[in-house]
Amino acid sequence: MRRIPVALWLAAPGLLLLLALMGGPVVLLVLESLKPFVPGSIRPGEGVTLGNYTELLAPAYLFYFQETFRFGIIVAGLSVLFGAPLAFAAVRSRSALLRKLLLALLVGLLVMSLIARLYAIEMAWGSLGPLAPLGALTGIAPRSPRYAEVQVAIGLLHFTMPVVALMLVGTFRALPPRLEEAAASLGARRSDVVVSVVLPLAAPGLVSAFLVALAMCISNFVVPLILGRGIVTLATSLMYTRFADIGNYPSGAAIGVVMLVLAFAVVYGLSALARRVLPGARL
Amino acid sequence: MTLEVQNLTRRFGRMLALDGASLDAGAGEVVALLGPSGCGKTTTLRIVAGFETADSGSVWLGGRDLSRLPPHGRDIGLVFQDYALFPHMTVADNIAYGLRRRGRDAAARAARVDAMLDLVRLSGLGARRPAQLSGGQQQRVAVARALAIEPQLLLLDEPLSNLDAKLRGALQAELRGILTRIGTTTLIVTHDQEEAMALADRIAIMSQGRVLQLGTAREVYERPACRFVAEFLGSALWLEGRVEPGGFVTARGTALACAPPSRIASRHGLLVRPEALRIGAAPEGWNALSAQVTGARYRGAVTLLDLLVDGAAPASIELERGTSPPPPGATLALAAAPADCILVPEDAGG
Amino acid sequence: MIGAALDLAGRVAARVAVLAAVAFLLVPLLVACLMSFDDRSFLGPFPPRDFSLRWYRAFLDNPAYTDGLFVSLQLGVIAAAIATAVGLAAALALADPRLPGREAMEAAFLSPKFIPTVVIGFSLLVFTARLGIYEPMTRLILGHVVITLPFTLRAVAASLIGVKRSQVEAAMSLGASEFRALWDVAVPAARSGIVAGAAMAFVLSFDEVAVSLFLSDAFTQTLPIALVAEMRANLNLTIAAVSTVFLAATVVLLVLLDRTIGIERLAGDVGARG
Repeated sequence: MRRIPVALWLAAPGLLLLLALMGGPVVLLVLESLKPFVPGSIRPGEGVTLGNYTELLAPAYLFYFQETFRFGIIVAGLSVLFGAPLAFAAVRSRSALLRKLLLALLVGLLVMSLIARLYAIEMAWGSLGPLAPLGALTGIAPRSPRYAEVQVAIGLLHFTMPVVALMLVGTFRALPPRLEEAAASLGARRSDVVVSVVLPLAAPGLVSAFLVALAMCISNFVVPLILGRGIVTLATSLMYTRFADIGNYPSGAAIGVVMLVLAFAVVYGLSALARRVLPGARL
Repeated sequence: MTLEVQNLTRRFGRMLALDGASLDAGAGEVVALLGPSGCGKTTTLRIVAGFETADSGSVWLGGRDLSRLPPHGRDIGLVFQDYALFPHMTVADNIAYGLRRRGRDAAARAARVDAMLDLVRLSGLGARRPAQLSGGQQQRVAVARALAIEPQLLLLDEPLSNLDAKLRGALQAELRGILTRIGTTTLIVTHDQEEAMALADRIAIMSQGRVLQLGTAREVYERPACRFVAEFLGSALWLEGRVEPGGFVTARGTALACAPPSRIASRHGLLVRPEALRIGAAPEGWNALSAQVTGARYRGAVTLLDLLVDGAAPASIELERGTSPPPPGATLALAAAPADCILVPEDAGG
Repeated sequence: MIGAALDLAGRVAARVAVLAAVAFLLVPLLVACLMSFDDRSFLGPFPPRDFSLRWYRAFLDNPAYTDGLFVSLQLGVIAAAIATAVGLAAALALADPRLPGREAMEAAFLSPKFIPTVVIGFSLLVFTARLGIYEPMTRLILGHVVITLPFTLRAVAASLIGVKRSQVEAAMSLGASEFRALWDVAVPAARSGIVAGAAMAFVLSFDEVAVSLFLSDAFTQTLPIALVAEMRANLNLTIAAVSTVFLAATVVLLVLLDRTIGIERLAGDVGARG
């Protein structure tokens, strides 16, 4: 006689919740995306169509997805580039106070309201803000409409960097300091140690941090909503517009399904790929 | 309370962890389950405790079938290999935990905790946290916690394996003393034969999911039931050959006198414990063997001489103090009394 | 010589990167903080010349904000409580090596984290409408539980790593049912994860925009929705005041979490989210 494991009972509420609130809705989303859109009506038409998907292949729509990935890749790259030294300092700095302050900063940003942070970015980097001259270094004048792109990128970077840095704190903490000591005892300078020991060992962590940042960027909705000023439209904003402004539920649903697939492809597909390229990587 | 374990089988995927294991322990008896890692001894213990279910077979405790009882309804005290003390509770709270679950009132709990701390000689340490105790003290708290509930059966999983060698000896004696005083039927799982011999009244030797022999330390050492038991315990000189009327003839044709086999088996080998071997010519009525020296190992108190006996069987014997070892390649004459030459079946019976 | 120079250049570059990153993360917050005390009645260039609390009063005088604050607080507490309870149970289940299909379940539990919140909001809108659930608070709670569940689960799971299965089994052998054993042994050990997860869930819920935008209606607005609407309509310094309050609340929360769990440990619990 085998009893039902207690663990199953404990997992049950969560599983039921997920099934009801994620499984069900996602299935409905897919079904919705296959319905034809009747202009001027919230009620979709009868029958099944792939039209909402083929429509997205038009260059005008592909452009939105391309833009989304362009922002994502640039921001994720910068996020790792600056997040890595930050995380390394937070783990290996000789000053315990500095380590603690850096960790407090990162955790604090993680729990601090993103809306407040984005507003602060608008204040600091906006055309009236004290950092506007720095923003102008991108070659886009703070008063031009295109400056919204710079601000969206800054917003996404502010959003992803603490997460990336905290992930890398975990990565660097897991590296045995003995290896660095061994390299140093063999005559390697500090920078040699970082390049020849730390970075190769941290590579899987760096890759997965990059992918998480990329996924965060392409799924983010608030940053372009607040800082995009209607000029920067990324995939998420496109989906919202479909639904809110023109009431085209089926098309919004199709965009949602595509985003769902893209987000999972980035997180699971690419990390599986990276696992192959980097043997021994745990992503 | 008597424990009876009958014909347990358990399969994990492709691996057959238990293949009809049976054993029993009389009331108040201490039985050790001894075997190499992966032999199924831990699975047996977990089935008795109720954390695993057997595919077939049964466990009876005091005439009661345990199979349908959940672990918390079995009244079995369990001492884990890693002690599994609750780190967020004091020593006293750890010991009182089982009593609390049984609804004993505070006064009864306190009295029992004090008695248990006395038993394991940790009086006065009740307010400490487990992390503030040494390994040996933690081990004794684990024993006290398991005994506090007055279990019908005590299970000890590798009780001393986490301790360093010196401490282990002292605790072995202490643990044996505690087990004798409480008189609870006890099953000890261990891979350490010295521990098994020191703590247990009887030893069950396990291999590949079966109990090969259950007997006193003397029985399993001196009258092993099969080759595995003979070679697992201590060191052994194992000679291959065939049984002949009045004795045994090795594969090399050496005839040796010995008692007739105790059990009928298709194949037998001849077991001689190295400490029964004498260097030198055989006295009247003794068996003579020749051996080649392959090396010598200085071990401080003793020097071990590595030999190849009768051309094929490796064995190590202790040299007498002050004797210098013969050089490798030298040939030695060995002698063994027929009473020390035991016919042992190659395979375990039925 | 060249090696030493490169080493020095590398160290300098690393310091500059750390400094730049810290400045990038912190300076905007300080700017907003200063601006919130600006006495000017309009949004002027930085820095302010005179200081006052007028924007804080403006916040309190605006019912859209105060109502939103009340809704958000209520929503955050309820959603965080549900997500923490469910996440704790699921984390305890996932910590049991004998749970069938454990890895698939873990992936399922963490998946909402990778689904864009707009997609969750949109599909929940379609779904609740299909089920006839129109009460905005109910919809919002459902949506917020889904998005916060992976975080509470992860935080609790991280704090359960130190709990050995043998400790739970020890409690069971002493007479505790498996539920009771988990409650007595694993839950106390998971306290830091429970606190961190609950705080994280509340904060996420309190700041959530996308899901709330789909699931709220004109009469039940969360604070973030009210703020975003205001920011898109006309940028004014009331929001700077709100941001400063958020900043202060974050610092308070951080100090509290450091006292109860410790920043080092917390960074491990919430940082393990890759």
